[in-house]
Amino acid sequence: MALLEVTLIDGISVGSLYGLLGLGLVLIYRATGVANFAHGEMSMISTFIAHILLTSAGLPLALAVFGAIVFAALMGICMERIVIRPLEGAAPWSIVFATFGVNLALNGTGVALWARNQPYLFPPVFPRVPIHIGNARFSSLHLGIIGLVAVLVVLFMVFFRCTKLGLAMRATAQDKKASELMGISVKRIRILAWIMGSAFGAVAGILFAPVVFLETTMMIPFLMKGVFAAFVGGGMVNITGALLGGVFVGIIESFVGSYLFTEGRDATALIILIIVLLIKPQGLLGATRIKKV
Amino acid sequence: MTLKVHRALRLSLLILAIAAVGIILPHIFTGYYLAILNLIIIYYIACMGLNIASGETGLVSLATAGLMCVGAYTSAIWVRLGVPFCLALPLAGTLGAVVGFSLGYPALRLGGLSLALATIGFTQVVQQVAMQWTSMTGGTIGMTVLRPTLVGIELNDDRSYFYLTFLVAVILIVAAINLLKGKTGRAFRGIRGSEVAAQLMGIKLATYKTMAFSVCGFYAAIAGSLYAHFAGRISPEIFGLWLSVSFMAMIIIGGMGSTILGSIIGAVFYVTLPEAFRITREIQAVIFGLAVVVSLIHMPAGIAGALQSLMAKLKVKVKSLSSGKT
Amino acid sequence: MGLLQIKGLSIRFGGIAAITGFDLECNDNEIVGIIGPNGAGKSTLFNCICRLYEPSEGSMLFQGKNLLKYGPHDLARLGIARTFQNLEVFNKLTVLENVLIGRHCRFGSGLWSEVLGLSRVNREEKIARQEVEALLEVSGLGSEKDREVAGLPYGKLKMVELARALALQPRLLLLDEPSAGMSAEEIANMRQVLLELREKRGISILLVAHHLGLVMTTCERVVVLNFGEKIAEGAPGEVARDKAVLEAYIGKKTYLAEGASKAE
Repeated sequence: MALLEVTLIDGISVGSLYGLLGLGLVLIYRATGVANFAHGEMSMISTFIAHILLTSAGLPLALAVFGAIVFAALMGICMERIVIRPLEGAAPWSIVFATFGVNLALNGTGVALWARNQPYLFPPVFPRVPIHIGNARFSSLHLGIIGLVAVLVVLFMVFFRCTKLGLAMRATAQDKKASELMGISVKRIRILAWIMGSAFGAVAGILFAPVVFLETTMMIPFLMKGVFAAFVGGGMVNITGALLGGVFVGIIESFVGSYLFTEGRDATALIILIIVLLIKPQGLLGATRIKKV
Repeated sequence: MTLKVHRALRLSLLILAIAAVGIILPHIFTGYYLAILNLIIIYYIACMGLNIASGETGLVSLATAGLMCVGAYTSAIWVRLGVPFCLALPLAGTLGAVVGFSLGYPALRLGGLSLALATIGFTQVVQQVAMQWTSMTGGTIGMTVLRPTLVGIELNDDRSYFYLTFLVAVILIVAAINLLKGKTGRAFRGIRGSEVAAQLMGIKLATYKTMAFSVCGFYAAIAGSLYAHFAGRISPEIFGLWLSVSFMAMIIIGGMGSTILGSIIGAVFYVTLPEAFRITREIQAVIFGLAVVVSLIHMPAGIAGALQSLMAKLKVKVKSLSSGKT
Repeated sequence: MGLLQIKGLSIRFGGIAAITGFDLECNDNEIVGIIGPNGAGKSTLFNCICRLYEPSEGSMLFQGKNLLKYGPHDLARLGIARTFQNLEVFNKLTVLENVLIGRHCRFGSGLWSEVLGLSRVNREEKIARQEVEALLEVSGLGSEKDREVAGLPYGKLKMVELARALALQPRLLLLDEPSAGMSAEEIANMRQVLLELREKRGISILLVAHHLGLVMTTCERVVVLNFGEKIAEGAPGEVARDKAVLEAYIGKKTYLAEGASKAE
C-alpha cells in the first residue's frame, strides 16, 4: 500500500536529518572531545538568521542559506575560542555543562528575539511538488532532503577518508598527542571540526524548518533525537553509526506514528535510546572499551 | 564543667540559635519576599540531593526534575485522597529514594555522557507519564494541590509554611552533614576520584552508587512535595529538562561538591536573579547560562569554593601578621 | 600452604594473548619480584589478581580461597592491597582522607547510624583517624596530612598510595612500580620500608619494578615475564645471569655479540 512507502520515505528523510545533526555532534566530539549540547540551539539560531536574511534583507534563498552557514561557522569558532579552549584539561562534565550553559543562553536569546511558540514560515529548499511513483504520492520535500543529505554525506566521507585534511582529522580524533607530534596543527583541526559540525547543524535546521514550522523551541526535541541517534548508532564515537542511527530512529518513529498511534511518535526515540542504553551502552555499532589501569 | 555537660550545653545553644533564626526570618521577610524565601529553601533541598549524587560522587544527573515530579504528584495525590501530610511527605520521599535507587543501576553500566543521557531520558519519561496518566494526574492541565494540615493547623499562609520548610531543611541538612563527614561521604568522594582505587579499598560501586542516587531521589522528592503544596498547582510542563539543567546550573555556580554551602548559594542565585533585576524568563536564561560558563572557566569550585579559598588566604594573612608582630 | 597460588593463568584481549599459562606461588613473609620489559604483562597480572580483569583460564587461590569468586571490592576484606603504576590517588581529597579511605572496611556502623550521628560512629571515626595519623607519621607524610593531594610532588604521591594500601592492613601487597620517578636516596629509603614491612608486619609483597637494583637487593625470588609468559624464576643472582632473561632485555644480537666478545 502506498502508506508503507510514504511512511518509509518520511522516516528516512527526517531520520537523515537526525543523522546529520548526529554527524555534526560526533564530528565535534571525536575531534575535540566535547559533547556539544548547545548544538540544537546553534542550529536554531542559524536557521533564524537565514530567515532574517531572507525576509528582512530580501536575499535570494541560496544566499540566505549560505549566509546562515557562514554565521553557524562563526558561532562554532566562537564556541571553540571563548568557551572550549579556556576549559582545556578540565573534567569532561565541566565542558559538557559549559555547553549546556551556552544552550541556556542561546535559547534565552532566541526566545527574547523571536518569541516562544511563535511559528514563522520557512520556505523549503526545493519546490513543494507532489511526486507520483506508482500508487504513492511523495512529497518532493522529503525526497529532496534525502537526496541533499546523501550528497552532503558522500562529499563529507570523501573528504574524511580521501583527503589529507580528513586524515589529519581522523588522526586527531584518535590520539591528539601523537597527531601533534606528527606535525598536525591540532588547534586548526579543532576549529575545522567546530566549523563543519556547526555548518551541518545549520543545514539540518534549514532543511527541517519547512517540515515543522520555524520557531524557537523546534530544535529542542529535534536535537535530543539527534543526540539519541548518535548514541544509538555508535555511542557518540562512530560517524557512520550516527548517520545510520539517525535513519534507524527516523524510520521506526515514522512507522510508530503512522501505524500505531500518533502521540507515540515523540516518545519512540526516547524508548529506543533507553533500550539501547540498557542492552548495549556503546551503541549498536559501537565497540566495547576497557580502561587501562 | 565536664566534657559531656559542655557538649550538651553547646548543642542546646545551637538548637536555640537555629530555632531563633527560623522564627525571626519570616518576620523580617514578609509577603512577596517570604514566598521567595520558601522557594529558595525548597530548591536548596533539591540541590543538596543533586550535590550528593553529582558533586560528591561524580554521577552526572539530569534526573532531578523527574524525581521532583514523582515527589510532587505522589504527595499531592495522597493528600487529596486523605492521607495526612506528615505521612505523605516522608512517603513521597521514600518513593523518590526507591526510584533513585533504580536509577543507580544504569549508573553502574554507563559512563558520564551516557549516564547524562539516561537521566535525561528518565526525566522525559516521568514527564510523559504525568501527561498521559490523566485519571491520576489531570494530564497536561495539571492538578491543584491543597495546603497541608499539620497537627490540626492548616498551613494557610506563607509564614506557617516557612516553619515547615525550614524544619524539614534543618533535618535534612543535619542528615547530610552526618552522612558526608564519615565513611560514606569519603566513599562517595573516593568514587568520584577514582572508581578503580575505591573498589580496591573495599568500596562496592553497586552499593554506593545506588545509595547516592537514592539519597538524591529522597531529597528531590521531598523538595517536589514541598513545592507542590506550596505552589498550590502543579503541571507536567514544570518538571521538564530545563528544570533539571537549572538545578545542575545552580550547583555548578554555587559550587559542585559543596553540598551544604554551595547548594544554598546556587539556590539563592537562581531564585533571586529574576526578582532582583525584574527580567524576563528569557533574559534570566541567558544570564544564567553565561553565569554557568563563566563559573566553569574562572571559578571551577563555584562561589562556595571561591569563598573558601578566600577564607584560607585570609587565614594565612592573619597568621603571618600575628606571627610577624610577636 | 602458600599465601597466593596462581596456576595456568591466561588472559586475552581480542586477538592478543596478554598472559599465557602463568604460574606463581607466593608464601608468607616473602618478597617476590616481577620484572620484564615494557608490555610484558606485569600490570595486567596485577589487574587479574585484583579482579579488575577476568582471566580466560587458570586459577588463583589466596589463603586457600578461590579468588575468581570475588569481586574487586572484596579484596580489601580478604587482605590484598595494591598500588598503581599511573597513580590512582583521590585527587580532590587530602592526604589524610585518602589514607582514611583505606580503613573503610574496618568501620562497622551502617548507613542509618551515620545519618543519625550516633556516638558510636564518632568513636569509630576518632579511632580510625588516630591510627591513620600514626601511619602517616611513620610514612613521613605527617606534615602534609591536611593538604590536598593534587598539589603534591610525584614521589610524595607514591608514598600516599603506599600508606593508603597499608591502611588496609593487608597480608599481601601488590606494588606496581613504586619506585618510578624516585631519586637514588628515595629508592634506598623504599628498600628499607619494604624490608621492614616484611619483617615487622609480616606482609608479603609482589613487587613490579623497573629499577633492577631495587629488585635484586630486596626480593628473595624474582619472576621474569616476557610477552605474557614466564621465562625465568629463581634467586636474583641466578635470574640476572639467565640467558633468556638477558635476551629479552637487551636483544638476541647484542647478547650474542657480547657473549662472543667475552669468549675471546
